[in-house]
Amino acid sequence: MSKIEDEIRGIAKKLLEEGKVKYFTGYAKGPDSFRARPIIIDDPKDVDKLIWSPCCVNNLGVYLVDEMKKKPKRGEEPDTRPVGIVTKACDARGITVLHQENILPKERVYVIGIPCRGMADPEKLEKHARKKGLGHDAIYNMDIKEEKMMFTGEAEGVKVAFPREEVLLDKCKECVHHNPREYDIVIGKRIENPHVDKYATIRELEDMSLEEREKFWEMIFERCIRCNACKEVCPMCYCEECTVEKAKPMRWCSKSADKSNNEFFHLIRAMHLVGRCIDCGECERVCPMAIPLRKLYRKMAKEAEKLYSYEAGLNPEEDPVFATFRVDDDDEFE
Amino acid sequence: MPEYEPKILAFLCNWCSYAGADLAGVSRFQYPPNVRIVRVMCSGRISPRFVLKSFQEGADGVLIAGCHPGDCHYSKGNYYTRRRLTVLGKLLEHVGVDPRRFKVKWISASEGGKFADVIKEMTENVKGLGPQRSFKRVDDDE
Amino acid sequence: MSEEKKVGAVLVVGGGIAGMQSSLDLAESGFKVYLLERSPCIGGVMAQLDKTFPTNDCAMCIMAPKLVATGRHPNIELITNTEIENLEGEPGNFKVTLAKHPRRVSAEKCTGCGVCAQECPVEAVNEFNEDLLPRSAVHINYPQAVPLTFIIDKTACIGCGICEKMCKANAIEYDQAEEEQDIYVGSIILALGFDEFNPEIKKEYGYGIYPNVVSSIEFERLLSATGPTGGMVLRPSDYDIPKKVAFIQCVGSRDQQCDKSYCSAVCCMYSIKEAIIAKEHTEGLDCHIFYMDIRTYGKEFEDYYNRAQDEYKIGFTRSRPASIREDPKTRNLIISYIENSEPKEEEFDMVILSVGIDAPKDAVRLSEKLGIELNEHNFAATKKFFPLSTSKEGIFVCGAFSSPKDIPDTVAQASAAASKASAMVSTERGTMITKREIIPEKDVRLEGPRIGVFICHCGINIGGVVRVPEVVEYARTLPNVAYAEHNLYTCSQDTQEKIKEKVKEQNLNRVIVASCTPRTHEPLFQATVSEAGLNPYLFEMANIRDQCSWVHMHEPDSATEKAKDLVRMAVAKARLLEPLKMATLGINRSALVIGGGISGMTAALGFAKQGYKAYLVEKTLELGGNLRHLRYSGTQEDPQKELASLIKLVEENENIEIFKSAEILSIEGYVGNFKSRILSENMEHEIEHGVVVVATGALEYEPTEYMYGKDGRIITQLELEQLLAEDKINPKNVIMIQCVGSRGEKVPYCSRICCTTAIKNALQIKEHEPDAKVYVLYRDIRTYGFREDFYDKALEEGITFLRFDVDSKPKVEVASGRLKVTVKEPLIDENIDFNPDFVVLSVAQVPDPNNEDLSKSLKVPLSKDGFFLEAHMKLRPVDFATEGVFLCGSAHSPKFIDESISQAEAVVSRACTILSKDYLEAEGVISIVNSDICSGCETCILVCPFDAIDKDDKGKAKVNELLCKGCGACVAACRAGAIQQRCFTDEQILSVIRSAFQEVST
Repeated sequence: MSKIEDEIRGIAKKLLEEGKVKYFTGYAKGPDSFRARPIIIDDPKDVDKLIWSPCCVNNLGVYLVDEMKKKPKRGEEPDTRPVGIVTKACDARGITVLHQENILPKERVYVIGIPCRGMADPEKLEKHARKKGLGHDAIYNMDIKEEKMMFTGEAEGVKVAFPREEVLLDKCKECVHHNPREYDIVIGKRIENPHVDKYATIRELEDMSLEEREKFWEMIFERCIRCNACKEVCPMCYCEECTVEKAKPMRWCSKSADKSNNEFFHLIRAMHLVGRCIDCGECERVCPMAIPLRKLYRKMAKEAEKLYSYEAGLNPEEDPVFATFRVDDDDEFE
Repeated sequence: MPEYEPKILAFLCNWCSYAGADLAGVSRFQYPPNVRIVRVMCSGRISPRFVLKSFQEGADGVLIAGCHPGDCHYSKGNYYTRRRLTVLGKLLEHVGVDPRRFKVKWISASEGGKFADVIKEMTENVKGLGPQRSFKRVDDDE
Repeated sequence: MSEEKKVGAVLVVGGGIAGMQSSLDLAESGFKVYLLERSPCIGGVMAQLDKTFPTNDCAMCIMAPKLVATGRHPNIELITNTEIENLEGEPGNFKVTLAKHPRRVSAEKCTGCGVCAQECPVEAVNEFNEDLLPRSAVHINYPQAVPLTFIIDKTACIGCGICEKMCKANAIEYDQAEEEQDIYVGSIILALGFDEFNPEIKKEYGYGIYPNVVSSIEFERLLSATGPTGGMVLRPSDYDIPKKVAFIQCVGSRDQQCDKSYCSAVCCMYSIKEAIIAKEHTEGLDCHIFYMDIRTYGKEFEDYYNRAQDEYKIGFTRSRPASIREDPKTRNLIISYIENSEPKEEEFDMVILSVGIDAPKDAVRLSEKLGIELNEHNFAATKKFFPLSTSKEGIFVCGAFSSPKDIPDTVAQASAAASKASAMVSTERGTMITKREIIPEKDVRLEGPRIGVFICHCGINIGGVVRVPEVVEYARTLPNVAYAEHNLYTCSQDTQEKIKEKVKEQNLNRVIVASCTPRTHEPLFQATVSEAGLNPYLFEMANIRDQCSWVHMHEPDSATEKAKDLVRMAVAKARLLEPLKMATLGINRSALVIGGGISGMTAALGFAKQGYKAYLVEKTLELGGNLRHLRYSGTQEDPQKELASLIKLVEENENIEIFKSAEILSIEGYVGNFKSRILSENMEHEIEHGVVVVATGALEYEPTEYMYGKDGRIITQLELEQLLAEDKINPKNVIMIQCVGSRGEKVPYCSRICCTTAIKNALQIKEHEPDAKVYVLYRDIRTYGFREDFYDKALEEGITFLRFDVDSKPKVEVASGRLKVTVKEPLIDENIDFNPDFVVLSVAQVPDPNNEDLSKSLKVPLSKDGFFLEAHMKLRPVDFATEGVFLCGSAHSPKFIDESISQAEAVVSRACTILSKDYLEAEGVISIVNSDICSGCETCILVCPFDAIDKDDKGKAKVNELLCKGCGACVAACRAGAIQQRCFTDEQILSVIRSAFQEVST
């Protein structure tokens, strides 16, 4: 058991025992060794279910939004104690945005922030394991740990190593904010932020011609089935009803999946995420059609940074990028 | 088959740009009849949805015009517009929409000539690009 | 004053920006206004301007809404092309006889369509465009003119009769005669404005001889997009783009030779502005300004000047050129001037003469008719403590007619004069205004839309291009259109009756007029619809003239198709229009005035005179503010005597409640309904009031430079004044140092009053001791307006003015017990030493550090210099963007007494437009929140320019309908789509977008 995991359990236990939190959200062992799953515990006895490993991919922030939307039962006093939550640096930035937008008051959450070097992509892990001749069963019994530049596991008594660079999630490779900024308690040592190209994912597209880009996206937008998984998993998509699709007073965009409507939907969503998307990558992870959504949102993030020196979730005191302006903002409009 | 005539939808703020378009008329500045004007009170009202919807419904070009920065009748509406539409422009370009199809201009109440010139230039450009198909809605389910 | 009954009407003479502002304030405060204008339309000089300093706002953009509002206000009667013939009666009840000159076009019938002017064969002098482009004999001055009635220039008309034939409205009336009209008013405001100095008098500059020497107002027209060159800077001799132009300042100002000794107060700024705009319009243009002193004394002016030098690289040469000659071959101009005692010459492609402000040509004649005194310069004579009063009771003056001034000062004075004029007849408020008739409204909410479409030929303006009957046929095929017809002129009176008739006959519940632009005609048709018993918001317009037939004159087919599209789009919107009810709210008719200085007291007294209660809050133990320390006014008046009498008036007035040593604990609420807690002399008071006035003044800068505080002989101007007044000193040799703090790093702006103050005190020293030597060390002397006369007097009295460069400021030392001042004289480039008895520092005026807290509690902004920032620098100088909160005096920026008084009176006038109402009514086009959808992210609250959005107790956004101005910024900012803008809902706009692309199906 890692030291961080130990500390998480300790804190969760104390918080629950003292009744300081309503419940605690963290990660538990998943269906296989390559995946962790979210868990909510409200009994201090259960804290040992909590784990910390490079498989803790999910952004748990979305549960906080759910919590805020809960309405107390008639006649019941609402329980306004904070919710305890385990966050990686990116997830914590998401919570900052929620603070900024008054969706989540600070006193309603107890944030355990964890400096993070990046999480492992379960599919890459699986592929890598397969390359080493490990079968499905073997993999199941692995326990992924982080050691220096490797992720390691044990399968049938044999130590297996996965080079970090090969199995990291793409978004983690491009991450330059490894340390949470806003938290109630931090576990683990501060990590030096790397100098990497944070917009690497859109470079290729940017180098393309207009026509090539049009073709690229045409193909992409055509395949969306509008299952809404991207919206559901996103902590920033907290509207009661999706503004683009809701029928009343009128529908901006049909729910039926065709290229035109899909493109409308995704571009508006991209506009809505300007200065808000913290690149947790959850949308891409859950998309059944492998739509490279980050290629939209990262472009938006890049422009917001380039034009307005604004990055999502870095400063809770700052006004959201579209809710403010400078008189001398860049003006290409003549 | 007649020559292809593009359709351009223009959203103009009431106080400056719509007045500028009126002045073009009063001054009898001639411009191509390809533009249809939608009046809004302030360019700050323009949501990216208007732009995308216009393309979806079949616009070959979309023009937004408002008061010059600093001249806004509501003092700062156009500054928000400037941010939002600058980013929207980048997004449209990113997904392959030719930037000549989406224009934002600052046109004052005394710039009738500029309004006419903007329409002339845009009509010509969009004509050169041909019909906008990528966005256009095929079905008509609503 | 006579006991005769007073009249609740005011005559405003002059329809420039000042006259319009006075009229609008009065009309909105419950008085009938006669707005008299000599020329055929209102607008004045501002209509001729391209941009305005220091914000470079487009003049027409910001003025047009005022033009339209003046033209359509039910309480304002516009009387144009008319002059005053005679005045009788008493203050409170004047009888004024007017001479109306024939227009030769019927104001009732003319629709302003302009066909007559297009067909008129005459080319006449175009005064509006400064004769840079001819106009027809039948004409209007400019496209946005109000009233939009053409006029026949009799001197140019050849009587060919073409216009009469062309006019389908039969509006031409060649044989109109002079008419006389008597009106009865309680008071009169003179807002005559000014005339430009005619530079032909200054023969050495060759104006009128060399084509490329132009006046600044001609240049302004060249810069304007509506001007003769469409905004291209072209020189008149060959229409070539100039590469190098010069501005010569003070042409007809500060010039005894041509009997214009005063400073025109605006030329430095407008020349800098014109130079900047010219550079923006012309790539690579070299601009050069020849000046005597640069007088950028106003709010944010110095910053503008600095930007002109640093960013725009405009050259500035301190010299008054001796002459201009022309190179006959190139028609270039060679300017001869002296710089640093050396004669020089330089060649330019074009020279602009920055002409000064002359008294209005009409001034002498009018002063005789009205019996008011003029000053030596033929401007209206006023007194320092009564800047708005002429010598005759009941007649007030504002704007440039009392002294040359810029637009914001003019607008402030215009409101101020309105306050003075209405105070005289405040008992008669509401007695002469047009009362709105209330017509019962038909409930249409449960009916399906039945739309009537009225399509206008506009004579041949539309019908000559668009096939109107075909559009009518098409309209009939559109969904929900129950009726469609065409009219020759839809705006004519008989068509209004017809529309009403058809609404009833056809049971219509939506009306569309397809004609000209809603910007000018929507109110007319809305009124008609309203009279027909429909909510006025069930009306929509399609602009098929200005934006269709006029711009596609040679493409009848495309224009007809476009007109159909525009009508279809209007129908798409009209189907979804809903009747709007405006929220109303009662008003607490009292004012909270913060600050008990001259501004605050003047404002409080102003409110009391209007019949409203004022709460005056002063943080110290005494009323009077900075004025308590002033001993000399520079004129006849004794400041302390004037102050004492004002304090007495304020303290004795029953309508004023004074809180001394007071502090504001909190201010809550909004326009009409504020609630404040005040701590005064250890007692807490809670008051309710309808408006708030910020009159907190400014402070004196405490210098750290020039050894201040280290030696008792180094003092400030204020200290000098005290010592002189109390006869404690009798200095023989004094050095005054200007710009201490000001125009530097600590205080970047000019403090406006210090040059005049220094000269005032220097003259006082001379009065005490005629042989005393007084030296004023300065950078630019900024005695703008008639203050220049002081400067002249100081020079006559032998006061010495020595200029220093900002890079080599004077040095003050104490050497063996004596003061020593060393200054480098830039002309001879040598140090000069002085051993004065006193060194007097002219220190800056700085904002009160408490401004920050007050600005937060009132939710109003501060400028980057720390003063309060008004809603609009040009046209709303005393309003904040937050409705019901106002600003006056030095809290706005440093000011003289007369200017503070003017602003304070202006505040009263502006506030009375609120306090005089029975109730406040919200605008129709406002935002509303659907709280079921709102997620409470507060983005709307941040973007609202009017602080009109708040949160309710459930954490959802809530729009204060009375504060919302309906820009719709919040709607676009709301991701959730929880806010809608009435009349421009998402649903309506979406429907319009869709309909724009439906194929025409005929």
